[in-house]
Amino acid sequence: MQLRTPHKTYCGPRLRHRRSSRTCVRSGSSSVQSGFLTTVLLGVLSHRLERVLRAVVLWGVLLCLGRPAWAEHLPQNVSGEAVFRGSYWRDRNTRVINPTVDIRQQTASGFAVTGSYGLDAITSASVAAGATSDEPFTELRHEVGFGTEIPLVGKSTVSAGYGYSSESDYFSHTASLRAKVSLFQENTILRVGGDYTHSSVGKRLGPTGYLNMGILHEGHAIAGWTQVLGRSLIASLTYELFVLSGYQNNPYRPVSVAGERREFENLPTSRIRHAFALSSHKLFGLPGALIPFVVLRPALRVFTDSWGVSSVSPEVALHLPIGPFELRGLLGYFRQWEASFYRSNCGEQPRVFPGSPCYAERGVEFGQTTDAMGRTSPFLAYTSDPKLGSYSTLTTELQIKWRMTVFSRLGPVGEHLSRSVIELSGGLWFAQDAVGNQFGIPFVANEEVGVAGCAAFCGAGFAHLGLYVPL
Amino acid sequence: MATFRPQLRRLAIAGRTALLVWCGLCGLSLLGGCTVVRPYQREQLAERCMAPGFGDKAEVKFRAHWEYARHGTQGGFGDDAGGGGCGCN
Repeated sequence: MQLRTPHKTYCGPRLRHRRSSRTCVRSGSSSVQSGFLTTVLLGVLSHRLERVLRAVVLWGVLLCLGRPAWAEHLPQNVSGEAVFRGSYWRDRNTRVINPTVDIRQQTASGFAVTGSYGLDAITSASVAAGATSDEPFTELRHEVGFGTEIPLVGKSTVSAGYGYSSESDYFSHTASLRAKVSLFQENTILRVGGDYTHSSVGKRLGPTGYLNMGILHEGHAIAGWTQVLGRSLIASLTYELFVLSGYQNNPYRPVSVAGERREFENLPTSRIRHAFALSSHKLFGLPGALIPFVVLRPALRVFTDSWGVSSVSPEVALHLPIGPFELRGLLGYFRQWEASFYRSNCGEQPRVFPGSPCYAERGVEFGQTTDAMGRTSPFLAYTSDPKLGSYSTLTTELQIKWRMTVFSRLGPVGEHLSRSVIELSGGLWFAQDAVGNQFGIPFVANEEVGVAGCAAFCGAGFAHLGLYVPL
Repeated sequence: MATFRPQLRRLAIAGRTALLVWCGLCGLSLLGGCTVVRPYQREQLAERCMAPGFGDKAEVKFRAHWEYARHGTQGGFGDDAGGGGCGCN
């Protein structure tokens, strides 16, 4: 087809400077006029498509250029913040849905109040985990808390709080007191504090029946030291002491002792726990504006207690801001050594996974006990909790946060929104041995399945969705 | 009294090594004259991600809770891990 006199070129209102064979129509040509509407329609659609593509490219360019203002990352929200968070946990026996809200509001003078609410919706199907049959049941745990923080001299503060947790067979009151002392222009921060928790432990006897099993008193002391070691390096050392006294059995877990089935375990009534935690945050500055820095956080937790349980848990986390996003990865290893009265010496038993707690003898002597007549005798301890055994786990987690800076130009509301953050994260928890069998979902198909479920590559999955809103 | 097991010995060695490293680092910082970072030099330290738990108290609390429910140990998560109740079965 030969076109006659080309008078002018029409490429659409925004495409005058581009001559595309797909969109340009040469007016004045009779052979083109018949398809004019179709061509214009195609031009408009193409124009819209190009606008979208242009916007995408523009966003990409802006992200790649990384405006300096976007390198500010997560807002501090010093005046106050509300955190709405939904967590999900799924292992072989249990599914937990855990929505929470935490609110903190601070005045200009530094006085702060906090409040929190959390719901644990725990659905379990395991006999060992508390069910009396294989029918799933759901239990709700409510937890509320509030506290206050009072400024002292300099940056030092004292804070106090109270929390209450309630579920159908476990009720807890917790009171806490903390003091933070800031020294040397806030280069050294010392923290000391303590908690006391009073728990009533019960056992459900059907939908309405309830049996009070005992009281558990728990004292918790914490001492922490945080030291600035440089402009981009900070380190923390924390020591925690837990003193537990009272009923510590799980009243739902039966245990095999000397060939007999006992209704529940028999644990010592006192337990002293020590936990040490070391961690440091190191910020590595990078030359680019897209990724202005990387934060590396190695940490180590060491644990020991009077029952003989000990553990070591190193982990490393990496924090990476990219424009309005923040990425975080975590890899943690946990190795535990069993309690001194933990036994798995019944030999091969049907329906008993190797390594699961089982006592060939009548129990393990652990300290002394005194009866009502004042006579002392050896205390025979036995447990049915595989978590008191030897095992190792691996935790992995990935997280992404998005600071909603795109709303910053939408007036006061937009400015408020621009300091809000959306979080999405998820991870896998791998466990081995009896604990892996107890809780683990088989992650790999066709693996060797254990007596009750899983022998290797077992674990759980978890996910979070959070919203951080400034107040 | 429980016998001294090889695992406990390994743990003791690991803990002692960690403490020695830690004390060494602290000693080095002291030898450096207790590096004092002035308020106007705290730009990087003021990042939210430099706070314990990366500044996410709710996340620390949840993690402390599920680790307590799935491990035989407790603690090590600092101030932000408070809370009572079981929810641990």
